[in-house]
Amino acid sequence: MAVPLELYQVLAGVLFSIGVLGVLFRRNLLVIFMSVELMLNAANLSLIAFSRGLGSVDGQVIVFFVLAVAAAEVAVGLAIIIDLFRKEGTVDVNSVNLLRG
Amino acid sequence: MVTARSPIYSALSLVGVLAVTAVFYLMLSAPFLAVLQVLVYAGAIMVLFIFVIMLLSLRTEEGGEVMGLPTGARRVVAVVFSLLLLGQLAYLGATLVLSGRSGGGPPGEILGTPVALGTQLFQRYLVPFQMTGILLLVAIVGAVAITRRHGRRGLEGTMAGEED
Repeated sequence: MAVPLELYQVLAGVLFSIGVLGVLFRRNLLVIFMSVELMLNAANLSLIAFSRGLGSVDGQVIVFFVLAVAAAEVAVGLAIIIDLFRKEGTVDVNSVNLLRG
Repeated sequence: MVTARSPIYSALSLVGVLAVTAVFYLMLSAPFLAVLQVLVYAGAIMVLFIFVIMLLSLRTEEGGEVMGLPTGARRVVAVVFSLLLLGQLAYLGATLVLSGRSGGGPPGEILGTPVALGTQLFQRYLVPFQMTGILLLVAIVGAVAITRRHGRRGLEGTMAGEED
């Protein structure tokens, strides 16, 4: 238990930044989606670290809810991606401009 | 993970990250969530991802062109982000060294046992817990409704259970 709590926050920050980079710089919709999962995971890690620091279990309960929401999000998101692939034949975000005004 | 050309490599890296995070959960006295992480994330969600990648038979991104930005702008953005990240790290490291604190929270007993977590879930957080159930149900129904091969038929056609 010698690992300082701050290092967990640093790790969570690094993971979140990598996720943001993935969302910003990739064109493949699936990879963008996985980057979003990475960011959720970073937030979870941060919550659990703080929960440990405060000696309270509340943060872990919140992480439980985040897990559930992430599962729901993945189900709907992948359904949308599959439908998009059927219609457009691609998952490249640059070629999906149906809503462009 | 974000630099891999093939989505399948990204997915496998993400599985590795999730597994390592589960170990961190264990170290942070959250064994129940660690198990949940492996089961739900590394198990269910990543299987879904890899299944979809295989289903769509995605090739690598063509040409490596990223987001249509010109090369110069891309470099500038990358440098800015890296400097931001490095600055954060340096700041945190400096404060960490200066403060000299170590460890957090009372050591000893494990916080996130299934008993403790379940007690909280079913007492203080009962209403959010029920709403989570509803959310999952709605998400599943929505996913099925989206991926269904809908033709010209509206809701009545699908609700009548016709296969199309």
